[in-house]
This record gives sequence, structure tokens and C-alpha cells, in this order.
Amino acid sequence: MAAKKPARYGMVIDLDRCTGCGACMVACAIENNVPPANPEATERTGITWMRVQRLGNGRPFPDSRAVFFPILCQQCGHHTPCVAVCPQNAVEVDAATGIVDQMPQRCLGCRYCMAACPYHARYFNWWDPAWPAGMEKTLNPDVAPRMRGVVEKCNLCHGRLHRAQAKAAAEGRREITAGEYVPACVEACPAKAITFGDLADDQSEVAQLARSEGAFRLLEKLGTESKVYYRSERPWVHQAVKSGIGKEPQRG
Amino acid sequence: MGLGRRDLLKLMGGGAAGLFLTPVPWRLIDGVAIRTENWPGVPDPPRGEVRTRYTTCTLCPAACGVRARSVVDQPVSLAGVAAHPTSAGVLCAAGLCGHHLPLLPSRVRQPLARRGDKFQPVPIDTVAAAVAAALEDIRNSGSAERVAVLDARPGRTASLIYRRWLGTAPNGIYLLAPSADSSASLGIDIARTGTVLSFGAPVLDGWGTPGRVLEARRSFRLIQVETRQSRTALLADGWLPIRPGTEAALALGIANVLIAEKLYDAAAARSASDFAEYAALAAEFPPQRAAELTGLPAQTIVAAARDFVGHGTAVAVAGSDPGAGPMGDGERIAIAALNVLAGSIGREGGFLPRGEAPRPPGFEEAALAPEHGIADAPDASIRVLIIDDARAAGAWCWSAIERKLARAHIVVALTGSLDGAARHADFVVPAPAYLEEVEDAPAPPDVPAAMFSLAGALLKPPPEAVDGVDFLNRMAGGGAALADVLKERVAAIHAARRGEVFHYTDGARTAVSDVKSAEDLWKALEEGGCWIDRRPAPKQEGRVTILGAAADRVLEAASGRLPADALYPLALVPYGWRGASGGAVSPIMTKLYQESDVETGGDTVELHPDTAQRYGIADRQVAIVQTRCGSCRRRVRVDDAVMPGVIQAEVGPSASGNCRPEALLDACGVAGDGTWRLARASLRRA
Amino acid sequence: MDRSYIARGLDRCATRRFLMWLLPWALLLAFGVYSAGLCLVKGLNQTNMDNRFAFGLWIFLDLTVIALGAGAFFTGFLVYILRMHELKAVINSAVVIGLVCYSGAVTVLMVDVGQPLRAWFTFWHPNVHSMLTEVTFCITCYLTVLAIEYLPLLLKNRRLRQVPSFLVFEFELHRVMYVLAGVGTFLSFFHQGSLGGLYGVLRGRPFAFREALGVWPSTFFLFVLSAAAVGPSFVLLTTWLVEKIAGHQLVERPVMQKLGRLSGVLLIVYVLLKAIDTLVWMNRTTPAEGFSPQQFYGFEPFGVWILFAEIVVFGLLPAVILLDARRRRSQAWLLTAAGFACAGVALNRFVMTIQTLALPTLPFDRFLSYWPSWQEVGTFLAVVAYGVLVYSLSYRYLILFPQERDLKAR
Repeated sequence: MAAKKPARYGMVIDLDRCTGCGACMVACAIENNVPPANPEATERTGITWMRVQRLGNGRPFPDSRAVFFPILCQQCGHHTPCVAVCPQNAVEVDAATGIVDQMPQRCLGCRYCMAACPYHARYFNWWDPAWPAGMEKTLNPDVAPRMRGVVEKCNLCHGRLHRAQAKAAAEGRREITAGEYVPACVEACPAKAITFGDLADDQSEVAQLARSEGAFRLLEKLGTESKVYYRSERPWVHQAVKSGIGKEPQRG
Repeated sequence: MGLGRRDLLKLMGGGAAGLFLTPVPWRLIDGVAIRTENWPGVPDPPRGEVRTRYTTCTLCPAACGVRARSVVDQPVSLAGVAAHPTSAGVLCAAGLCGHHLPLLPSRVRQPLARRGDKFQPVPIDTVAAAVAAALEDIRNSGSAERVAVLDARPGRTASLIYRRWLGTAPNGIYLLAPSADSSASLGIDIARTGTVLSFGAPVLDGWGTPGRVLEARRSFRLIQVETRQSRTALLADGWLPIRPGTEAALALGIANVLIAEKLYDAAAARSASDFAEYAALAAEFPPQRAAELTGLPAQTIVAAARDFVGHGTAVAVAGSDPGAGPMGDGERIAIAALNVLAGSIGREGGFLPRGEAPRPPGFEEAALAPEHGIADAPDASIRVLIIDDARAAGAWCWSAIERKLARAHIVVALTGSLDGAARHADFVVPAPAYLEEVEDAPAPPDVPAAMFSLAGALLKPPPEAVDGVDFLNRMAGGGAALADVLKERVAAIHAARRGEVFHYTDGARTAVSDVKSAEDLWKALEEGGCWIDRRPAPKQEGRVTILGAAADRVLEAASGRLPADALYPLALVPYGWRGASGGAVSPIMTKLYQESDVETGGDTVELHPDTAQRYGIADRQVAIVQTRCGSCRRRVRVDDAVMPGVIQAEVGPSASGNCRPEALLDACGVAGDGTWRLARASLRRA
Repeated sequence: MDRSYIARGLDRCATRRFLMWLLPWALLLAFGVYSAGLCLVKGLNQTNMDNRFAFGLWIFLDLTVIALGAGAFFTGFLVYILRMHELKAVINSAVVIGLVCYSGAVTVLMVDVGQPLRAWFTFWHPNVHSMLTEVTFCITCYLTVLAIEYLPLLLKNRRLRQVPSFLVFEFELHRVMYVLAGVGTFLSFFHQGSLGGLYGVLRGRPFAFREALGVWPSTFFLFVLSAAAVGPSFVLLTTWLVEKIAGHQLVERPVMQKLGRLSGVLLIVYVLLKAIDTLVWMNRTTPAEGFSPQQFYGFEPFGVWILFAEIVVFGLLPAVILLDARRRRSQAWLLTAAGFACAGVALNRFVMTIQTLALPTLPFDRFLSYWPSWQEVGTFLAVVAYGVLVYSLSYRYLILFPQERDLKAR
């Protein structure tokens, strides 16, 4: 039997559809057992594997415009910054799927990967995870909660991939069909702004969208070959992305 | 020869070195590492059989289908139901974490009575007896004081039961919660709409049925009229940033252009009995005057009017922000009038009739107390107020309700949390939480069809939970439980042999006429399903009235909502989001309100940098927002996308957790028409 | 009271006075241990680090302290490999400083990581591509080397040397000291370099990223060079400080000047290479990544002045002073220049750790600021206190300055 071509799971996020509602953030936290914030946590110490940011056009009222950018681990495929720097090999790129996996059980908490990631997609457990009393029974049994002092990040809901593969195996199939494996954020988006799939499959919708006009990746020149694409048909969005870093004085 | 000290030392040293050749130290180190994965604080997810169950979300009127992934009987995650006829597989952020609500530690689990500032547990019969005594008193004294039920989710079967009970209670009056609009007789055929002109409605951010609206997004143009650059405004095809409170002026300005340039639908105009009056009123608002009032350039208003009718069926909607509450009658009528001009009423892509599921016997309209808005009740007339806000999807300004209460009154809140109406209640009755009781939902207000969705119970309520119907039955000394009435209603639907059932489990549709028995229909709905009948209700014949008796209210609304005030020069504009402005939220909402900047939070206000500078307040400093009715402390966020001179105040959860959504609204005060969406305010540094 | 422990012929103050000297440092150590304890027990939320400032005060000070402690390996290299025997006057002191710096840094690192009990994972699952693996291995080995180098000092204590086997051991050890020095130099070269490499490889941080020479980014070599340059200066400064506190001369003036000259020579080479590296970075590396140097220096307070300060004020200036023989003879110029050199290296480490993380990388990022919490400061003060205590004890009971006795005789 021919060897299965390795998949490169990725997504294309349509910035013209994203309403910034945050449903993806909530679905992600529920699927992956991310705890609610400690009372002292802020937007700099919270854990949001998926996080909606806001990029403005830098102009004041009434010419201001903003676009919502869902940011998650960009699943860098080349020179993956976090994989190269982890001293314990607690991060690796899964060859069969292209997913950048994090092993919290091996993580030492040195946070070198967090310094390396230019997308700020990695989060540290500054506190012990705590759910309100009685709410532990709503945890997802497929995902292990992490302990204090380790780094965690989006892994494209790898648990759902395992579930889909187990289901396929139980039905006697060796491969899952497209659509059987969908990360929580993709499923939850009310505007259907995220298209997910195998970028290595040229016929897939995600691959076609990634090649389309108006699709781009963040920090392309760094050469990380990330697997999360964004697209927009609004020229000012492209302009704002190119125009430079750090101009946002507020909100984001 | 004995063991000397040196021998002992050598033995110990050798032993220590040799130990490293055994597995002992490595296992110990390994054990230590495993321990670090299993600190006592890290919870263990529950294990058990994973099941999929279905229900309908009742957290807001959209009534989206819900697929629950449960471990044994505990839902651990919720998702939408693909191919659902109205929700299109979507669940919003609030719906996604709804399964946390029954487990909130702060939820009310037993009946409470207020003693001073605190609540104390009492038996439910005490509450029922107190209310029954008040009712008896009204009957015996023959006073004109009323008994009222304020319903956050009208249109349910429970609402019918309330209305019937009020029909028998002394001076019973049934009140719709602010911004609840169950009597909407028209829905919107959004899939074929050409242009939506929204006056402050959060069209893309929690309005109508989100799945349906967003699915149709590519097919309609959206023009958002709003002071604040909301998410809807950001994604609209055009944003008209008007001065606060000038919606009616803009609506009349647009009407002026449509009439002047003869861009309106002549047939629709003919069917309006007071078109001439309306046209005369619109004539007083030419583009220049509308521009002066709204702050938009006159050319923009003209272009907007042409844009409105230039692309297929045009629909104008009046918003009701979950934080700011409803618009006044004047605005609503002025905006609704645009639909007459656009000819979108009764047309494909426009407003089409919305229906209701057949009612069970004994619930004919004549037997029920009619629906009223809060403003319809005379001031100081309510002796007993029962509030059902267990699933309120929006914050209320208490003053709007308080002024209707008689001097001696009892307020009973049927609720799940001590936020919301319970703050002012004398008695709190613990309602079953979301997912704990079988209930129903009517067609969402935007859907032009008749619908009946059953929300099956996935969890058991706490032993002392009492639902509204149960409470009324206790006072009446008997009566059918809600579940029984629901079954009767399903039987009535079955008997009518209309419409079809959509099954959440597999997306199949079954015509009701093919369902063998009422029990089978009940079973299909309870497992996860909704009934929908797209056959349009008969069109209302006869002429429409545009202004009716409200011409002066419209004129007042258009001429200046927010008079200048030397002491309070700023405009306070509250806003909220349907999923979180109403009351207690899941702790996972910290992702939005605390761990990111998606929402700034209910303890912040946003100001333009010039405004902030004028009052000497820097970003993230605490300020006091002062109005004529009160004040509150808020942290300031400086944002140059805010209109200068405006204070945008979020009504919702806060990162600090100690700021209730309604506290700001209390400071807003209530205008003459019962609205609280605008106020004059001032600021000072705290 | 403890006279029998103190080497013959050396002036040391009374025991009571010594204990009074130790007391405040012991208290500071206790406070610092409490701070560190809070971080270990309650978690790293006790610090002001956050997801953007994953590294904070501790990492900055660790890097600085290790750079300053480079005097240990470099002096050892000069004495035992290059046979500059006059530096034997300060080698012992340098070893103690090195030991204190490295052991303190390692202790702080144990508090800095989220799961200290997993520290050994790096040895069990090493990642050969990671600079931090390299740092961990080399620093651990080097700490062992330093401990072994410290051992002869300890064994030469007046009382301990009375045990014959200790004396023999010490003698044998001394014969292989050059091996230890060589190993120490080798290890130090790599870990000093890798500490620079930590930042130079960060492709995601264009401010820190540098092009590679072989498999190492240019910061690898710059860090080694700057550490070697500043090592002698720090030894110089500490020697002067100890002389001030002790109240008498410990080392011949020419030795101090020699240290200054060594610093100067290496520093000027470093400044030259650093300037070239900066130009390449600004004109080639950064634009290739889609950024411009102006973006890095456009945020207050990190303006271009910081680059100027690092390379010119605290780099070129002290180098020029230290190369001037006349200036070296003036104690004031010598010490000021040495101080500036140390400050320059500290500034360089600061810029690499803190400024790198403060700068935004994405269009919707902001420039963020960070101030350490008192627990972080306290933990670091514990290291300072520990250093002073160990050094004080070593100074009192061991022979750190071989020239002391002769100078006293004169």
C-alpha cells in the first residue's frame, strides 16, 4: 500500500468575515481545558490559545477602521522557532500532520520558546489552574489539564484528530475524511470565517484559498512558513499589516 | 579486627557511588518528575461514556439548536446543530459555555427573602403565602393596584400561562421586558434582502438569529448608523457615525430625500393612510437640517438615502442594544416608516409575516391578559411584581421599573443569580438554570415563520428549584405543570398537521402529517428538534398607519434627544452584548473580559484622547462618571476611534468581578418614554 | 577566637567585628530566601513577568553576572595556559568570584523556571539544536570545574592543611591545574558564547537576530569577547573594593594595571567587531526580515541613545582609557574605566534581554514596559548577599591574595 502523503494541516482566516465576537476563544478554552483566569490575571498573564486581536488603520475618528485578527499558534513549518530552542525537546513538529505539538509534561517552564515566538502564541501557567468548585466535571476527558509553571499553546485540537482517527479505525478505515477532524475554533466560528484542512492537498478548499489573491501570512519574511493564512479583499487591511509594528496605542 | 572509622567512611562512600548504578535514584527522580504532573491542584477530568445529546439554547430569543457532548450525563462542551433551519449550525460565545451556568457557585439554589441588605433562606411556601396575601388584599380592598408579571422571554408557553393567570388575577397586567419584542408579527427574509439600514442594531454581533444573519451576509449590503464604532459598524459596508440620539433626525432626513427624489415605493405609500402627514413631517428635515442635527455631511445623507433603495429590497431596522435598552417610540416609528417608503413590507427580501405555533386548548387570546410594554403601566400602580428574568439577555435600568411600583409593593424575582432583578427583589425564587428543565422557545423575532423549539433538560435542577409556572400553581393551590402544558401544546401542533419537524440528531425533516402520534412528536422534539411552518400567515389587509397618534413623539425625537447641559456636557452612551449583559456569565468569559482586550469590560469607559485630556484623565486611570441621577467609578480607556464628547460605557462583566452590569444604568436615569440609552454626563478624576 | 583558622601573617579583624559585618548580609540573605521561597511555593505569578516579558530581571542579571564572573576562566587561562604569572596575585579571588557568580546564577535559574524539579530533563532529553541545552550543560560542568578549582584554596586553610591527605590531594590537584584551566576555558568559551547565541538565533525577534558564522550567530562570539574583556575589569574592581573594606593593600599596583590593559585590549577589539556587526545587522539582516532599524529605536525610553551609550560611552571610551598607560597608573581613571566597561557589558545584556522582549513584532502589538516585583529584586539580593558572605568567609579564612603578606611586610 502506498505510503500516505504527510498532511500539512492549516487554516485560512477570512478577515472580512471575522466579527471579533470571541466565540473561537471560548470554544478553544472549553475544548482544551484552559482554566478561567485567576482573579489577578490580566491580558498579559492570561491563557488564550486563540486570541482575537484588533488592528486599526491608525486614523482617528471618524476615519478609524479596524479589523479583527484571530491569533493562534501559526504552526510554523520551517525554522520553527520554538522547536529549535526548547532545551528538553518538549516541542516538536509532527511529521505526519505538520502540527507543532507541545508536551506540557516535559516542559521545564524556562520560557525560552515564548521569547522565540514572534507571534506571541505561547502562554505560561503563572498560576495553578483553578476552576470554580464543582465545575471540574465539565472538563473535556480527551485533554490533560496542565500544571503550574509550564508553557502551553494551540495544537490544532490534536485531541480531536486522535478522536477522528480512532473513530475511523473503529470503522475499519485507515484515513479520516476531510471534515471529520475540525478544531474547536473552526467549528464554533459563527461567521464561518475559518477554513481548515490539509494544505498539502492541492484540491482542498484551504489550499486553494491559501493560494488566492489577497491571502497572506504574518511576518512572511521571517521565513517561518506558517500554516495559518489570512485573507482580505480590503486594500487598507493589507496596508495596515505592512505599515509597521507597534503603532497601536490601545485596544488589542 | 574491627571496623575502623576509615572503613566506615569508605563503606559509605562506596555505597553512595554504587547506589547510582542501581535503579533506585533514577526511579526516585522519575517519581519526583511524575509528581510535578500531578500536583493536588490539577483537576482530573471525569471519565465515563461519552454521549451526544441535543437541546435548544434558551439564553436568548435566537433559539439555536444545541449539540451537547456529555460524559455520562454531564455536558462538557456544546456546539451548534448543522443544517438547523434558522441557526445554521451556529452557537455564539455565550451559548458555547452555557453548560457552565447551572454549576456557578454563586447561583441561587433556594428561596430567599430580603432582610435589610441581606438575603436569608426561607421555605417557598413563605414566599407564595406572602404573594397570595397581597393578592387577597387587593381583591378585598377593591383597589386599582395591579399584579404584574414582567417576562424577559415572552412568547414561550410559560408566557401564555402567565398571561392566563394574570387574566384571573386582580388587575393583572402582563409586561414585556425592555427590548423584548415577542409580538413582532413580521420577520425579515434576510437571505434575499438587498440592503439593511440598521440604526444601532448589532446586526452582526448578536442580533436576531446570528447563524442565519451571518450566513446571508455576503448577499446584503449593510449600512450601520451608530455613534459608536461597534463590531457591526466595523464590518458594515458603510458606517454613519451620527451624534448620540439623532436616529430619528437621520431617518426623517433620509425620508425627505426619498420623497423629494421620488425614490420611494408609490404603491406602498398609497396603502398608508397618513402618508401626507408623514411627508409633511419629513419635509421639515431636509438634508441640511438633518446634517446639522446628526453631524453628518448633507451629501452623505443624500448618498445614504439613494444607497438604501438602490440595491434590491431595502430593510430598515431599529436597534436595541443589550446594554442601552430599547429605543423610544419616536425613533422606532421614524425608522419603521422607511420600510413603508422602501416598500419592503410583505415583499420577498423584506418583512414577511411571522407566526406562532398552535396553542393548547384554553389559551385563546381572549382568555389571556394582553401584552404591554413597561411604559404602558401607570406610575406607582403595581402592588405585586413577579419578574421572570432567569434568562435575561440584556441589562435593565431599574428606575424604569421602579417608578411603576406602588409605595407598598412586593417584588418576587424568578431568577438564577443575585445580579439582575434580584438586586431589588423582596423575594428570590430559585429558577431552574439553563439545561435543567424542559422548556420551549418560539420563533426568533427575525424569522418569518412559525416555530416551536423544545429545549430538553440535560441536567437535574437542585431540589429546591421552582419554575415560574410551579410558583403560580403554588399560589393558586394547583394547576398543570409546565411540562404537561408543553405536551398539550405539542398535541395541538400535531393535530394541526402543518409544518415539519427538523431533527437535530441527523438533520432529517419529517412532515408533521407523517408523524403517527402526539407522543411520537413529543419524543422527536425532546430528543432534539424543532417544528417549523414556513407557510406564511395570512397578510394583514387594510391600510397601514405610519405615524398614528405618535407624530409629536417622532418630531420630539428628531428635534433633539439630548439637550445641551452646561454642567454635564458629555454624552454617556452605554452598550452591551447580548450574551453577557444580562447577568451571571460563565467563568470562562474571562477569556474575553479579562485575559484579552476583546471586551474592555463593565468597569471601563472609553474616551477620545481629546475628551480625556480636557478632563485631565490618562489612559487606565480611574474616573467618576457623574450624571444627574447618580455616579459610578470607571477605569478610563483612551481610544481615538471614539467620537469626541462621548463616553462609551460597556455594560457587562468586569475583570475585577465586582462591578455589576446594571450599576451604570442606574446612573443613566430614565427618560420620559422609559428609555435609558442616553444621558448627559460629566467626568472627573477619582 | 578563630585565629587558628586564619593564615599566619595576615591581618584580620576581631571575630566579633567580623560577625557584625556578616550580620546585615545574613539578614538580606534571609529576606532573599523568603522572596525566592514565595516564588517557589506560590508560583511565578509573584513576579511581574508576563507572557510578553517571559524573561525579566533575573535573566538579565544572570547574564550580567555570568559575564562579570568570566574573570575566573579568563584569568585562569592567562595564568595557566599563557603563563602570565603576575596574575597569580588575583587568580584565587577571581575563582571565588566566579564560583559565587555561577552558583548564584544557577540558583536564581532554579527559581526562574516553572518546574525546578524537572531541571534534569535537559540532561535526559537534550535538544542538540538549542542554545539553552548547550548553556545548561556547559554551565553545570563549569560550576563543577570552579568547585574543583576552589577546593585547593579551601584545603590550604591553616587548619585543614593539617590533614595530610588533604595536602597531598591539593598538591596533586595543583599539578593538573592547567588541565582544569583549559577545560574551564573551553567550557566558558562555549557557554558565554551560547548565552549570546540564545538571542542571536531568535529568528522571531529581528532586534536580537544575527547572521551566523558557521552554526553560531555573531552574538556568540561577541558575548565571549565581551565577557573576556570585562572579566579582568571586574576582578580589578572587586580587588579595589576588598582593599577599601579591608583597609590595606592586597595586590601590587602593576598587577591592577596589567588587568586594566588586558581589559582595554580585548575591549577595543570587541568594540570594533561590535560596530561592524551592528552595521551589518542594520543594513542587511534587519531589512531582509522585513523590519527597519528605526522601528527598534522609535520607542521611548529605548532611543538610539542606548546604542550610542553601549558602544561608545561604555565601550569605546573605557577601552581608550585602559589602553593609555598613563591613565592606567591613575587609580581614579583605572577604576572608572573598569566600571564603565562593566556597565557597558551590563547594558549590552540588558538590551539583549529586556529591549528584545519589549519591542513589538506584530502589527497589532504594542511596546510594553516591565518593572520587577519586590520578590524578584529580593531573590536577586539574596544572591548578592550570598556572594558577599561566601567571599567574606573566603577572604578571612583562605589565602585569596598571595601578595598580601609581602605587601604587609613592606
